[in-house]
Amino acid sequence: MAAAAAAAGGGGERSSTRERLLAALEDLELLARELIEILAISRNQKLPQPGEESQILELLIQRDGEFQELMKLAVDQGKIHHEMQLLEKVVEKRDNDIQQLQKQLKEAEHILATAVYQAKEKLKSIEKARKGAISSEEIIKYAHRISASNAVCAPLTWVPGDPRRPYPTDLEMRSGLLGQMNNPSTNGVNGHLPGDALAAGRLPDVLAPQYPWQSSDMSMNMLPPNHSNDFMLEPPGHNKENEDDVEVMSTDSSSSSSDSD
Amino acid sequence: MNRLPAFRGRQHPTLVISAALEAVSPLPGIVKLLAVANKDSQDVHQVLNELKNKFQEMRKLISAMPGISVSPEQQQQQLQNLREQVRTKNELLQKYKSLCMFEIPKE
Repeated sequence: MAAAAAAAGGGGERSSTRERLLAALEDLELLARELIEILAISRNQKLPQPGEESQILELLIQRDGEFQELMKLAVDQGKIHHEMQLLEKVVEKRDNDIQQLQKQLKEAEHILATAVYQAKEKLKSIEKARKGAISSEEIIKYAHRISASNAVCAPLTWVPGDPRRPYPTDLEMRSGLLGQMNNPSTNGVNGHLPGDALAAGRLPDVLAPQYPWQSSDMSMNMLPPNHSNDFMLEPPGHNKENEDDVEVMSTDSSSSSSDSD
Repeated sequence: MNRLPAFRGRQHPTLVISAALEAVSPLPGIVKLLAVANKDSQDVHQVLNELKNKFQEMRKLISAMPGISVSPEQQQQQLQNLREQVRTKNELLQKYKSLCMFEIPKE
């Protein structure tokens, strides 16, 4: 019994403190029962057995000492357990902080990625524009040709009742290529549609339709003749007004020279 | 019979329990039993019952004590792990809070 108690009380380092405490308590209880039985037997038989009683008492005292040591150890472990609980709370708070930081970094990454993507797209556009660069002179020339037809702005001299329109009128269409094709007897020398020339931004002088109200001065061919002059059915005496219109539209002759090449 | 001291709310429960357990030992009960062994059987039964109850109470208290489900070595290891976790996470947070995010790398 003593050997079993010692073996059980050894406990080993692997068993928990609670198991060791309960084992020690169990041993104490067994020893106490053993002692009570011996006392009962000796009382009934009235035979003193001091040897066995003293042995059990010694074991009891020894086991109680071990029990008290284990109790002290349990108290220390309780304090450490309290400290561990505090540390676990700190760890939990740090985990929350890290998660919050992670969310913010993720959001920042998304914003930056969007900004970088847009910047790259803009750089691509800039590069594309550089490759297809057009001189400003040509753009201004083209703008003059487009605006010379009075499609974007009425002439300065336009008044209500003026037959001029921002689109080709019936007379102009009839005097154009299609009209010439249907009426080969007309005095047109051009075989091209004025609209095509307008779309191309130029109308060769040779092929320009000759209208009564147009200026006879072909040297002023800075703009398509049929669009640069006054379209009113007026006597040639108004050519000066047409020239004024041309001058207003194009103050710089070099900038709006026609590409009749 | 030794009574367990009353719970004092301001102290940590572990400390209160430890004080109670330290004050309680089965030996006094056994000594008392020896003292009444030659007396009336009624006293003996009473002491035996008290001793039995004491053992049961001590078992309950041991089962309720926190932190003793592991050995001291295992508990120390767990404590070291927790301290290391706290240290590492503090360092990580400090690192990223003080990190300059907009350093342009030299190409």
